[in-house]
Amino acid sequence: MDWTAFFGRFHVVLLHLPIGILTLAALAEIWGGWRRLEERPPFLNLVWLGGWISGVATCLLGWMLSLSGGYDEAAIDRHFLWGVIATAIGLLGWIFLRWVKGRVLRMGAGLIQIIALSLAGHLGGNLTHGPEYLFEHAPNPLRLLAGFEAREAPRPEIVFLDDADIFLDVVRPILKNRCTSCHNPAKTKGELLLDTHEGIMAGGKTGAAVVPGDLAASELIVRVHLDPDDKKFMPTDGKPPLTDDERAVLEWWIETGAPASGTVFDLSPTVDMRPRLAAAAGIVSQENELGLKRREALDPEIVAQLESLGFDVKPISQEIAYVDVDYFGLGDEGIPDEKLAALQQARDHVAWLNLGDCGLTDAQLGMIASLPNLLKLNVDRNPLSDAGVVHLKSLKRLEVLNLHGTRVSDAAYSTLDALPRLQKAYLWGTDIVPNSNAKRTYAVFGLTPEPPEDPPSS
Amino acid sequence: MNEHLCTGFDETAGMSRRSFLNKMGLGLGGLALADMVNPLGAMDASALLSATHLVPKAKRIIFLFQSGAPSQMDLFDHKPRLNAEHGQELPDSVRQGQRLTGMSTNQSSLPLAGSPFEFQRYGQSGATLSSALPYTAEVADELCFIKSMHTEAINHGPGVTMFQTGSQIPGRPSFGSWLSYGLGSLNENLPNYVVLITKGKGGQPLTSRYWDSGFLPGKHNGVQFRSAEDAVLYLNDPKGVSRASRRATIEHLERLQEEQLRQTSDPALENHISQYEMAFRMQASVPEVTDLSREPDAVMDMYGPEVREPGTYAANCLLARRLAERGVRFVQLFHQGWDAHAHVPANIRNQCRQTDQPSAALIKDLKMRGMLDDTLVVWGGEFGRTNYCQGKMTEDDFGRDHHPRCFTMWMAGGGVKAGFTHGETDEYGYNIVKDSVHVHDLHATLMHLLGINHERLTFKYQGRHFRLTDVHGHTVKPVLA
Repeated sequence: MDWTAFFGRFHVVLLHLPIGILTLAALAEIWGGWRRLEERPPFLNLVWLGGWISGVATCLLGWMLSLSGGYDEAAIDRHFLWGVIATAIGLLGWIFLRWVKGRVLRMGAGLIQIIALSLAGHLGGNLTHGPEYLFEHAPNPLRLLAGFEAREAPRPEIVFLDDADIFLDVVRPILKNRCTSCHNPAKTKGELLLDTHEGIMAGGKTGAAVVPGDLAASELIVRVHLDPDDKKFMPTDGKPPLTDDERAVLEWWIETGAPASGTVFDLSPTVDMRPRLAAAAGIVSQENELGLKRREALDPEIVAQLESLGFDVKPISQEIAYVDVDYFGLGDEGIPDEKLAALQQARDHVAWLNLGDCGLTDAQLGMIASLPNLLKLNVDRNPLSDAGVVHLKSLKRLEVLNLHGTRVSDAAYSTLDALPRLQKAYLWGTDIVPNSNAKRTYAVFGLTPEPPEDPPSS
Repeated sequence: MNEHLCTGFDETAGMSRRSFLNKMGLGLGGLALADMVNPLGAMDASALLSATHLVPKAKRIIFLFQSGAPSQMDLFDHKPRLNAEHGQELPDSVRQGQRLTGMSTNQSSLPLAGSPFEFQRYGQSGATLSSALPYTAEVADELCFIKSMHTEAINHGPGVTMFQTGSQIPGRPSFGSWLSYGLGSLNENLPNYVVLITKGKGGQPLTSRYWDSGFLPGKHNGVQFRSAEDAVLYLNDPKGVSRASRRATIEHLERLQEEQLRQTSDPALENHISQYEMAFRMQASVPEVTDLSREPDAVMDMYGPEVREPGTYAANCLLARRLAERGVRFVQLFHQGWDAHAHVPANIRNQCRQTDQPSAALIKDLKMRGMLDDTLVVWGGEFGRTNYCQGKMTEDDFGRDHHPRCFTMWMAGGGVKAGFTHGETDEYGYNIVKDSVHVHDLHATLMHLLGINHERLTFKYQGRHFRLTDVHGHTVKPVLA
C-alpha cells in the first residue's frame, strides 16, 4: 500500500485549516494595530500556534502529494516555497509578536502573512484546477492583466451540422469534456497535451496519441477501449468514461485522417454518423432525415400563391417541412420568369424540384440555382445548354440531377464534377459522347447501355 | 366544404341525419372542442393528406396487371421436381385438402405437370427466369420478385376485385382511387388514375367497377383511355363548337351549379364541377400525351414492333411512361388472356410475345430517364395456377387451374430492393414455405413506398372508418431498399 499517496491526498483537505487560522491571526494583528488597542489578547498567541501546527502538517502532506507526480515541477516548487514561508511566519508570530509593542511591526507582519497565504493558496489552486481556472470567466482586460491571453471568441453557434468545424466544434468539445482537465499545459499528465491539434499530434510519454488512419496505433483510442479496471484505462481516477458515441466520433475523425480543420460537410460523413457528430457538436435534433436543418412549415399563403401559378407544392412528409415542387405546363408555352421568381419565396424550403419539359431556358436555370437546399432537380427535356448548366455549380447539396433530353455536351461534366454531393446524373438523349464517361464520383445513367439494336435470342 | 356522403345528397346544410345526430346529439361538447381546436374544420371531413406520413420513395405507380392469372411455375418459380414427377399424382400430403375450383374438382386424377420451358439464372442477382421471358431476363437485376404471394379468392371476379379494392366483394374504392384521394394530383390537367386495357383480347371480362371510386368522391374514379381516335370518350367537342364557346358554356354551367349548391348542398355537384373543368383541360392535355409521333425510333423499337399499333400492350406501356412523366399518380394496364385452363405452353408463348419485351422496355425506359427512382412498377395477376394438369394431358400440352395458395409477382423501382427475391414455395410449387405475402400486405407495402401509412388513410362511410387494407396488412420490410 502506498501510504505516501494515501496521506498526500489529505493535503487538499487539511490546507483549509492553516489558511483560515493564520488569516484570522493576521487580521487580528492588523485590526489591533489599526484601532491602537493597548492590550493584545493572549489568546492570539494560541491562534498563531494553531496556525503554525496545521501549516506544518499541511506542508508535510503536500510534499507527500507532490511525490505521486504528474504536476509541473516549477509550479510545485513555487507553491511549496510560499507554503513554507506562510508556515514560518506563523511560527515567528507565535514566538515574537507577544513581545512586540510597535503597532507598525504587528500590522506589517499581518499584512505579509496575508500576502504569503494568498500566494500559496492561489498557486496550489492552479495546480489542481489548472492556471486557466481562476480567470477562465474573467473579463478580457483582467485576463490580460493577469498574464493570460484574451479569451478566444466563443465558437459561433452551429445550427447546421454541415457547417461545424471538424476539430474545433466536434472533436475538441469531446476532449475538453473528458480529457483536458489532466492533459493541459499546467497538468500535463503523461506528457500529453490534448487541448490543441498540435499537442494531440505530438503525442505523449507512451508514444503517438493519434496516428491518422490507424486506430490500432492511436494510443488515445486504445486507452479508452481498455477494461475500466486496467491501470492504463482513460479517463482515469474514476472520471466518467467516454460514451460509445464519443468514441465512435473520435474513431471516425482519426479514420478520415484526423484533420485539424475543415467542415463536416467536406468530410461527407455517413447517415449513421451524422447524429453522433451532431451530438458532439451540441446540435442535437436540428436535422431531419434528409440531412437538412429542421424548418417550420412553409407559409400557407405562399403555398396557395404557388399553387395558383400552377405549381404543385407539397411537404415531403408530415415530419419534414421541406417541399416537393412539380410544375406541369400545358402546351408548348415555356414557364414564365414571373413564376420562377415567385418560387423564390419558398427558396429555403424547396428540396425536390421537377421542372421537366416546361421550356426552361439557360437564363432561367440561374434562377433555380439560388435555391440553397435543393437535393433533387429534374430539368430534363428543356432547351438547356452547357452555358445554363454552369449556374448549377452553386447547388452544393444537390444529390440527383436529371438533364436527359437537354442539349448539354461533355463540357457539362465540369459543372457536375464541381457538385460535391452529386450521386446520380441522368444524361440520356443529350449531346454527351458516351465514351467520354471517365470514372466519376457519381453514377451516370442513360449513356450506356444504348437501346438494343437486335432483340436477344429467345 | 361538405362532408362526402354515401347518398351524395342530403338536406341539412351539408350534413346527413346520421352525422347531424352524431355531432349534435352525441357531442355538443365535442363540437365545441372541435371548434376550438380547428374553428374552420369542425365540419370538414376532407381527407387529402396535407403531407404523406413518411418520406415517399415513389411518387407514382405503374401497375401492369396480368388479368387471368399467369402461371408462376412456367415463368418465375422453377420447380424441377414437377418435371421429374411429370404425370404422377399430386400427393395428398401436398394438397392438404385444399379446395379446388369446380373445373377440376371432379377430375379423377390430378397429374403433376412440369414446365416445358427452360429455366436459367440471369444477371448479377442470379434471378431464375423461364425461357419465355428473354427480355425480362435482361432487366432481372432491376426486379424484386415476390414468390410467396397468396390470396383467398379462387375465381377471377373476386380475385381481381381483391387486388383492386382489398375486398373480394365489389363496392369498395379501388387502389388507384385511394391514392388519388390520399395524395391528390400532381398535374391538374390529367386524371390521377388512368386505366389502359390491351385491345382485342378476350378472356375474363374487365368491368369499370374495378377502377371505381366506390364510396370515395367520384372524382377519384379511374379514367380509361381507349386506343381509338378519341382516347377518352365524349371528351372532344362536337363539330362546329369552338373551344372558346365550350369555355363559356362550362362557366355558365358552373354558375348554375354553384347556385344549386347554395340551395341544396349536394356534394356530388362539386364533383360535377371539377369533372367538367378537368374534362375541359383534358381536351388539350390528352391529345398531347397520347400522341406518340414525337417519340424517337430508338425508344419505340425498345418496346417492340407492336408499339406502333395503338391499343397493344406495348403501346400502352409506352403511354404509361408518358402519363407517369406528366404526373399521373397511378397508371394501370390490364392485359387479359392468361387464364390457361388448357394449352398452357401455347398460351405462355403467345402472352409473353405480347408482354415480355414491352414490360422490360418500360423498366429500361424509366431507368434511363431517371424515373425509375420514384416510379414503382408492379407486374402480376390475381392469383397463380396449379401445379397439376387440368383437363387432358398430352405429350406436349396440358392446362392449369386457378391456384390462390401461391403465385409470383415482381416490382421494380421506387424504393424496392433491386435484384432481390422474397419468399419461397415448396418443391411442388403448391404451398408457401417461407415469408408469405398476402394481397393486403402488398397493398400495405405499396402504400408505404408512396409514403402512406396504410392504417392511417381512412374514409368514414356507413358509420365506420374504412381503409384499403381494412383490418389487415403488414408492410413487407425485407423488400424495401
